[in-house]
Amino acid sequence: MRRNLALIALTCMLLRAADWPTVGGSPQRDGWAKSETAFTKDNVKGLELLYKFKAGSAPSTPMVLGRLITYLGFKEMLVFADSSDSAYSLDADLNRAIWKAHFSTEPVKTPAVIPEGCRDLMPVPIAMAGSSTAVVARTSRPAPGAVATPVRRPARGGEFFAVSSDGYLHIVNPSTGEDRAPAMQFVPPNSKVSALNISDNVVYAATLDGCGGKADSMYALDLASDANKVVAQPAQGGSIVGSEGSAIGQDGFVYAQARNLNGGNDAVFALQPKTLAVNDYFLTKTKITELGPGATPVIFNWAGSEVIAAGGSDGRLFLLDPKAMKVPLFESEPIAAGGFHNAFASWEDPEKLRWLYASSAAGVIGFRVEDRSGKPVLTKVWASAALASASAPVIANGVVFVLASNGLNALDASTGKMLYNSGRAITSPARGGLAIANRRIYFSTQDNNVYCFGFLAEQPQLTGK
Amino acid sequence: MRKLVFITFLCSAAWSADWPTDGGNPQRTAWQKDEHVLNKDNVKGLQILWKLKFDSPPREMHSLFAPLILEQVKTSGGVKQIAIEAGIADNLYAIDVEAGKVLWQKHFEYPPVKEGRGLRPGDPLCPGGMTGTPVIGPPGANGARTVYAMAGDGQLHSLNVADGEDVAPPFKFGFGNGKSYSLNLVNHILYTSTSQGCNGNPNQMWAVKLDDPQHKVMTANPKSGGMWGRSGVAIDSNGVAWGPTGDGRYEKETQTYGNGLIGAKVEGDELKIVDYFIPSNWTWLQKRDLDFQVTPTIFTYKGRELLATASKECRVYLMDVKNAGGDDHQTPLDRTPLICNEEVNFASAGIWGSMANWADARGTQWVLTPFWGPVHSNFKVPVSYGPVKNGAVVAFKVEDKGGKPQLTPAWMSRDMNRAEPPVIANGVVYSYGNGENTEQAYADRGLDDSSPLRIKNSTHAVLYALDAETGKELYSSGDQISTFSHFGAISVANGRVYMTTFDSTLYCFGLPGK
Repeated sequence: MRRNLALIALTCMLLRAADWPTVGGSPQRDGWAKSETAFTKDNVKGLELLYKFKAGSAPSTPMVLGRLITYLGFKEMLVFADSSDSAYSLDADLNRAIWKAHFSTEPVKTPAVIPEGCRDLMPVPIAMAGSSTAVVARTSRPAPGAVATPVRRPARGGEFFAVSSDGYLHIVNPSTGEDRAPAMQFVPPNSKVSALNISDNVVYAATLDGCGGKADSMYALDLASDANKVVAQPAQGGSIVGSEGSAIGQDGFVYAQARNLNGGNDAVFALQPKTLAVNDYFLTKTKITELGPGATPVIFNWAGSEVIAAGGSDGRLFLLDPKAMKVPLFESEPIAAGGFHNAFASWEDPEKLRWLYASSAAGVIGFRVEDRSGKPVLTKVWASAALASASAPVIANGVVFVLASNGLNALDASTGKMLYNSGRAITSPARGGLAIANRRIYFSTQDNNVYCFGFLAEQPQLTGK
Repeated sequence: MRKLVFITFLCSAAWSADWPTDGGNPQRTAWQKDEHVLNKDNVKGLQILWKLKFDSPPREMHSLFAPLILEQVKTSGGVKQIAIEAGIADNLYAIDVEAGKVLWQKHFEYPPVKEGRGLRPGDPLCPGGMTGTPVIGPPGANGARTVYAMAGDGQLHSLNVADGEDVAPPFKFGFGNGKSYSLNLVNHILYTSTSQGCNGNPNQMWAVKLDDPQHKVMTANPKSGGMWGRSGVAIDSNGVAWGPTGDGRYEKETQTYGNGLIGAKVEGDELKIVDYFIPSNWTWLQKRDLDFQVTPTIFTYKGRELLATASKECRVYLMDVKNAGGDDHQTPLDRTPLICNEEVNFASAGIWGSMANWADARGTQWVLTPFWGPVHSNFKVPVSYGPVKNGAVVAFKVEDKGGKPQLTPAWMSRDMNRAEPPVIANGVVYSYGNGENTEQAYADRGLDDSSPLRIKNSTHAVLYALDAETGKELYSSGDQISTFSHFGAISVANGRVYMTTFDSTLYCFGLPGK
């Protein structure tokens, strides 16, 4: 009976191919692999290394295109960039290169003195339009001779977007790795771009740490316009924080967090789609001079409306109404020394309880979002065992996954209990964030490998059984 | 002298060979046991004896199907050897093969098909029209032979092979424009299968008792993407019809048997699924669209009736028809390593169509499969003939290992441009590279399976004759065939090798003067 149930579950999964198209899994940066059912609190202790792939130089956080019908067949693609301006597409089922592309870049003048935070820049994760919460079931075939997808209006899964070190945006044919259109100058050369985000045919990027000699800014490029006009919005004198750049609401508004405004305040800005005009903002009251890394805000649904969660440099958490940001819906006491790291994750459990997970210097903290007089409040439920250098958490089917200095960890999403640690399976510290799709977990390490974890018994193509 | 002529005639009669159905027989062995004219020594002298271009236009990529051959048919003009040729445009031709001339022809007229959801122009998967190779029944009481052909409207026609006249009123058997595959006939029960949901058809196995006055249509539905074994179903000695189920999923509880094989038998007035096999990696096959879709070939080996079949993944499976997949329906007697399709492509690679088997004079049992695309870099075969980039035929010996029959690779042929199902006759294997453009997806736009595009990019078929024991090339037709062949097949009988092409041409190869 158990075998039959497992078979049915596996079958249901196979009918749909999930994507992990962008860091945090979605434009909202909720870090929720919503359709993933392979991992459970019971079985996750049996996670195994499925394979690893050595990149030429430092690889970015990998992304997953669940299914693409290419001239080479049906492929689930694992895509990432490396710090040498190359992009890779692997057959995620087989750990086999499909293509490797190298972006020919404009010569970039290297400044005589490179600021500390701008050395050894990490490659920008490749991004696609779409969301990990949107599953694809493309079983029907298009009409023969149907017109190809227009280049300038990418459909979901239609293109990969990459930024090379010269600041050019590349629209990449996912089948071949070739540029589908001439690359466009998007951000300044040698910028430190945390992540791209895509919504309604507009690509957004956040630049950090003043790299490339320019102030931290949000950038937007409207792909539906023929003007190729790039819009920039500086961070009002502050610096943009978080590993995932920006979060985008269902209405297309872009939310990014900056710190050290006005000599120490944190702020969350709401920017209008395409124009990046400041529509609203939230400014913390406390000025902080000892600045932590900061985290990208997350947007989630609560009681039928979108809510933004953001963290202050003083370790407070804020819940914001995107339509009225000046006054927070909720403000916690300082609960994480040094503030929050990277990005958050949020999901709604089977009992319809909303959870928020945050990484800090101490580890991961789990909060429940509760109703208090019609307003959301955060209740701390658990704190994980000590996890140094915790990545942005990712939640899948009741299990929170997080990378830390000790490798890959799996935590019970309700209690924070450690369910799994990769131990010696990983030979180098992890770098960047996680991607989860279609029964597999991916991440990069500092020795330039991309790792894939899962259950070998579910991978007949790897075992030959 | 007169006595000598008489003896010669008797020998000739004794040697007479028919090819009454796709694959030669209900078991789809594709083994012409009665060929005595062509052999390993003389086959190099093959020539085109004649070719006939019919006024039967192709639809999408389809044109003509496997020719059927009867050696001795009493006609008003005397006893003739007749080939029956079916065209997708609902045409049926009878050809006097000695003269290379049409004896009679029939066009099945019907009003536009209204059932179903219609066809999409340019779709090579669903051409509409008569898609199933007809089948010729056994001699009747008067010795007459009947050819059964299903027109594009799903009506089954029964015609006298001698003159093309109806011997029974047509009746509805299949789904209009539903893409029925080659008909098969055993014990007065006619079978076909349908696939790809063409025109909204149900993808299933179909059967009808020809002697049932009501002609009740019986079906067995595996709930899959389509039973598209090129030669339809293969039937074992117990009357179980075996058909691959194509794309789909496996769910035992709901009797969903995608990406596998079903065996169905007529019991009373129902066609019941009595056994099935699902490969252990069916989820992988489904994910990569590597359909289990090859018509099995059935044979007896050391007292056991076995079948061999395959999929686009490019493995061959060996099973016992009494218990196809063991107790769990997922354990074959043997499963070969990957022969090809290292790229894991759903098009232009893998095993397509049907298979073949034969036993040599020493009793060695052979199983043959064609494949498309490059050979797998890990596939080891003792005898081969140069790099294989586009396809080839592989022969296996069936041998006992550890008390179980196993498939041992014996030889791999020369490179063929999309090798098609082989036929074995008198120690010679005939196969052809179909010359067809098989691409269904493109780098710039993804999936675009378009007949006009594929036709434009196709080349021409090449017929090959190979030594059946070594795979050595004995003959190649070179550039003599003008166009490609999509879903065609070879037929061999009485010193002649037949095949068809897209330009509605039937080729007859043989030895002049023989």
